[in-house]
Amino acid sequence: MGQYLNIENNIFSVFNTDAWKAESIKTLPNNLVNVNSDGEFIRVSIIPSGNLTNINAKTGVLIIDIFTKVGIGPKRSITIADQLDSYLSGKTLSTTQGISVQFMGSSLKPNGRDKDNPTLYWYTYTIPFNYFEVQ
Amino acid sequence: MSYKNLIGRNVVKAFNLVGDLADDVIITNENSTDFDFSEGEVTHSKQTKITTQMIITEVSTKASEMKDDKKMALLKTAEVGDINDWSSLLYQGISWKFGPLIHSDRFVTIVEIHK
Repeated sequence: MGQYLNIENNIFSVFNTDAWKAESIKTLPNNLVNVNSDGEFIRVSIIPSGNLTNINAKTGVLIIDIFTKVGIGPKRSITIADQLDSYLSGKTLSTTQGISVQFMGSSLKPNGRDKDNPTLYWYTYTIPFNYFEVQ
Repeated sequence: MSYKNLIGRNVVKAFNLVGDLADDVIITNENSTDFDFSEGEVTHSKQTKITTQMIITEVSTKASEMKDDKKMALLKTAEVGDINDWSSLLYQGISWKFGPLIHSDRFVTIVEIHK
């Protein structure tokens, strides 16, 4: 399996856990339009953006767009960001032996109303990661 | 008679009056409600097929590295169902995908279709 797919599989595994499903936050990857939502969801985009010191390692950023209903204030978005932190910040993921994705600290930015759906407010949660492959 | 029914009936009549300018097409709609993070795939619900008529109002072909045959399709809103990213339109035996929705009211829908 290639590095990009390894990274995706490791990160996606977080959103496939029973614990994350129990959070009841609709989670979608990019390139998938949200339908049948009651107005709150997150969109996960993985950006492997650079190399580390050897070819079996990469750096990257996980960007998660958080959409909540307009007019409810920041608390819900921030709560979702904290929930994401509890699964990601400082954590190391490893679904396959010898492969790991190590997350650092996150940041959160409000962007205003979503342009496509102005009934949603949009925050961006960003967390850098390093990918390591031990052969 | 209500204006809604009156206009709706006239839209149907107009599609019949233009004769062979209106083509028979089959629209296939699929809804997705979820994404399977273990498989990395979209979970599709069942398909619905709708037989309707389409009037092509504009045709363009872009011959570049990204070849694109595009048509502007006029459809009866009451018969198109829920068009989304997974919808397709069967026209002259060829499957076309839907592009951006240009205009839609309760009577007619104008949408790009791409091959």
